[in-house]
Amino acid sequence: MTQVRRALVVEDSPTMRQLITLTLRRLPGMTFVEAEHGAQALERLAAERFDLVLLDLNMPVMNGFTFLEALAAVPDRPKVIVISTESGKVDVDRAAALGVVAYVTKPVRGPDLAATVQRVLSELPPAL
Amino acid sequence: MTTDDDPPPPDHQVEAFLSTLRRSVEVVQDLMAETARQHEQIRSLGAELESARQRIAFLEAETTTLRERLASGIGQARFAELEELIEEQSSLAHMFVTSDRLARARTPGEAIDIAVEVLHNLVGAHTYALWLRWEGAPALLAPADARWRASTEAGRALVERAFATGLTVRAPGRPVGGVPVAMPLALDGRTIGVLHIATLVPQLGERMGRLQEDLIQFVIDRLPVALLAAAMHQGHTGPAAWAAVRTQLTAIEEGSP
Repeated sequence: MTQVRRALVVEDSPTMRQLITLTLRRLPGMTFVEAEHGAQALERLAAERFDLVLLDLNMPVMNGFTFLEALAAVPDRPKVIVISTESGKVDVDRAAALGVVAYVTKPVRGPDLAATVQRVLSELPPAL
Repeated sequence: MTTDDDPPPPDHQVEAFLSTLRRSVEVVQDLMAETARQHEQIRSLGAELESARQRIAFLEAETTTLRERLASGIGQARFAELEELIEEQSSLAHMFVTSDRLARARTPGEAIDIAVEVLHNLVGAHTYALWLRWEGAPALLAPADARWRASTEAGRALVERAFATGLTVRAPGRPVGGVPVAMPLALDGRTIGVLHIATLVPQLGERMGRLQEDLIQFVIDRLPVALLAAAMHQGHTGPAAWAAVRTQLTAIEEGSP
């Protein structure tokens, strides 16, 4: 039986959000909710449970790093994959220190992103 | 057994004994010669066997090497094929999203914003500038965020040449796909704008891949039409449409380059 996995796409660019959901929509059981920035994502996380967060770093209102710091206080926190144009070691290391499980740099190739998401989901315990 | 007291054997018996002894010696000598010959043969066969073993070992090593080369050759071919498919699939997905987003733009400003999103997120342009030409001098329209804006001064020569020729112009010595590059936007055979890409994000280096090249060409092909379509959507038609685009966009710079 296919596991239902809920992903929260946190990205200020509607174009990028559309590309991410288009790319990942064929993964079995995946459903998506979108947020335009970190603050909106935290609101969604307070109300709903997610298995995965796909997170941009450069965003208005609340950027990705501020979101990650706030996420530490969220119970049952989901796994986080960063998708960013920033490729510097400082950013990658900081993201890892904040619990990010995978870091993908833009521009992304769909199948590469899908493979990363599948790998992260395969490490999750079965959904209840 | 014999003793000193026994009479000596007759001569014919001695002769027979000696004859038998000589024959025995000859037989033993023949046997020794045969043995030596066989030893030589065995040694020769042993050498041949060792030589054959060495040859087999060499051939086995060659076979292994060839098998590995063949396997890696096939692997590389399949890997290249797979990479090609991934590029193709990604390129199509990127173009689909870009086309869909531009088609949904309801104001010229939205169309510009979408182009900027595509350039920044999907193409991997790091610093760039979008110029549109009105009746007179070109005007810089994007990006609004100065962090990603290409230097006007550094790109002036490329942008002017692209406007003048209607052709893609690269900095001297840059290969196809390389940056800096200035690419014309055409509408009904007229160059109505130029996209100047000065640098790409560090992970791309100084040269665009096929995915980026396809997509950027797609953007500069579609953006002029998207601008017009958005303006027409707002009620402007015919020649007034392009004028409507101008009135609805705020230039960051006027009169340059």
